[in-house]
Amino acid sequence: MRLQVLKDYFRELEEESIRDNFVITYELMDEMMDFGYPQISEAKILREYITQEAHKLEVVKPPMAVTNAVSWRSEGIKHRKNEIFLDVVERLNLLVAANGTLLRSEILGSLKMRSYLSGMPELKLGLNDKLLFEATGRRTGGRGVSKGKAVEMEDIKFHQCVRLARFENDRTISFIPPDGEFELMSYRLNTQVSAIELDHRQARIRQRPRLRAPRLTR
Amino acid sequence: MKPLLWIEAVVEPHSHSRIEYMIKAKSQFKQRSTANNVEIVIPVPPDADTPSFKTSIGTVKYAPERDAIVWAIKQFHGGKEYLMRAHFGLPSVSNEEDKKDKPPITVKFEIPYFTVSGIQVRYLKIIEKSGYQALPWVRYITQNGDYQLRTS
Repeated sequence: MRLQVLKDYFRELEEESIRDNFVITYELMDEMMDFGYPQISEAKILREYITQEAHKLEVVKPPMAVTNAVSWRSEGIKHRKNEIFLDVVERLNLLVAANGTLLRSEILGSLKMRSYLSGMPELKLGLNDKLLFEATGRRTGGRGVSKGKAVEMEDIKFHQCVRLARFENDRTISFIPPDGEFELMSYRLNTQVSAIELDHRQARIRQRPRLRAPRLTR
Repeated sequence: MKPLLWIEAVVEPHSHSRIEYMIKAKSQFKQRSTANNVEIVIPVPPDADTPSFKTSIGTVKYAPERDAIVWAIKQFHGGKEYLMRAHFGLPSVSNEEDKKDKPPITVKFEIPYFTVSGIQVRYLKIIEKSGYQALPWVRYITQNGDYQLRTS
């Protein structure tokens, strides 16, 4: 009976919880018996006398993600609206000499994501990657692709969630994203590339294999 | 590749009396794009005084704490060219030390809906076993990094 009372107060009953709650244990025992005769042993009634909150043991479990194969995402993530935002940000470094010659010109690109997706989503990202196009026998110049040229990226760096073996193998960027904000990849480019204009609105991409070039409205 | 924003500076110093600047800014991207919040910072001698400016677009401010003129243009459309003239007085006695280093012109800008490399997202597929519909949104922007044009 006594055990039940202690469990009621401490939730977990073990050596450590008694040590943590020595004072309450003592007070409970004081209330529950007088001169060896049992008195009140009902926890709900005792709560009226001993109102103190017990220190409850925190059960330390390693976070799910640590023991998982996917260490950057925990299971059971829920979002009411499943959305993912991808920002393609490029910074242009440039150094021009006084006589007008280009001394340095490079692009530092970064793909930033904000992921609000439930569960364990599998994502696949397709870029107009030159090496991919060459590998799949697509034309890399002119009007072959949805629009314009393919881009040859250098120094590609991925977030740990991207399956590198898969990328090495067939240049597919596939991954289970972490929740929230992260940098999916970064790259560098020496700028012998001509610029391609993109849609003027925030382009929503539908889930179909190929994208049509978004038309410009102005 | 042409630099997205090209700046030409003609500086005419008249020792011990005045210095004149003629700055040409040219956008070398397509007309349908627009560079936002363009800021062109042109260094001037630290002992310059009595600034006066004339420009066809944006605002020009003298920033003595930076020894520079800041020409700010909120919206710089593609394929355009603008001029700015500045005039400063110089003291009759000048410090020769000050003339040694001439910092470069720096430019800040951001061009939305545009990637200078031409990189494009062709698809972003999302598959989850529960089969929900997810919305992928893609945005593009090009910004200045370390963007410098030397004057001499």
